[in-house]
Amino acid sequence: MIKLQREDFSIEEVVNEIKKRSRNIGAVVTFLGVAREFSRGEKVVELEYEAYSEMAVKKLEEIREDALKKFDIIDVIIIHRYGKIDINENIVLIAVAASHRKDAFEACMFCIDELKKRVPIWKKEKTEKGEIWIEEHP
Amino acid sequence: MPKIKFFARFKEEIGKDVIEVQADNISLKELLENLSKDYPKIKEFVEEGLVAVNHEVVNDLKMKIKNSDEIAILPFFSGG
Repeated sequence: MIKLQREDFSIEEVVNEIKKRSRNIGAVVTFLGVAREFSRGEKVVELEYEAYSEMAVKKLEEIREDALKKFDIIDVIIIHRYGKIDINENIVLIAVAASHRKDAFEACMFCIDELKKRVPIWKKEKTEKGEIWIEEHP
Repeated sequence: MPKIKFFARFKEEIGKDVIEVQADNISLKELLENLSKDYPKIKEFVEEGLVAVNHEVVNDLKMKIKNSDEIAILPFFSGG
């Protein structure tokens, strides 16, 4: 399951959801990305995320499919938020379910690394000195 | 008519999220060069970011553009 949404999500609900996929799940690994207060030495007041929705959903689906092919895992859920996000709030959640922990850990790392490379989502940092769009050169 | 979409910094700098253009059987490169005459920023954007056609990043700007194509000029990503 892939979701791009404005509202916050519940990690517990997502973990419960992915656990229902199979009775053979022995490990669920989650990665939670959170809005950090300090960035590049500046105090961040608020973040804003913008997405190219159609392409972002397509790319997230592709990453999920790639992870399912590459690792011995059972399912992947990825949720990314957009819009205004306060410090300490959730930004992105990746949950990977597998029979064993090793593949779950590796697939989770793969998904967040690929998300940063492939998914057209942008972060604007609003600091006390002004606003800046962050662009990470690959 | 092909659409050209802009996001994040590029959208703010050009002051538009989409431009529709007349383009018949021309290459992506020609289309972007033509557009740069009215919007000089576009040339900078192409150098500073990525170009996507129908939700796929393209490296070869020689491809022909169809009327139904959706083009997007994208800054480097910063999600996650």
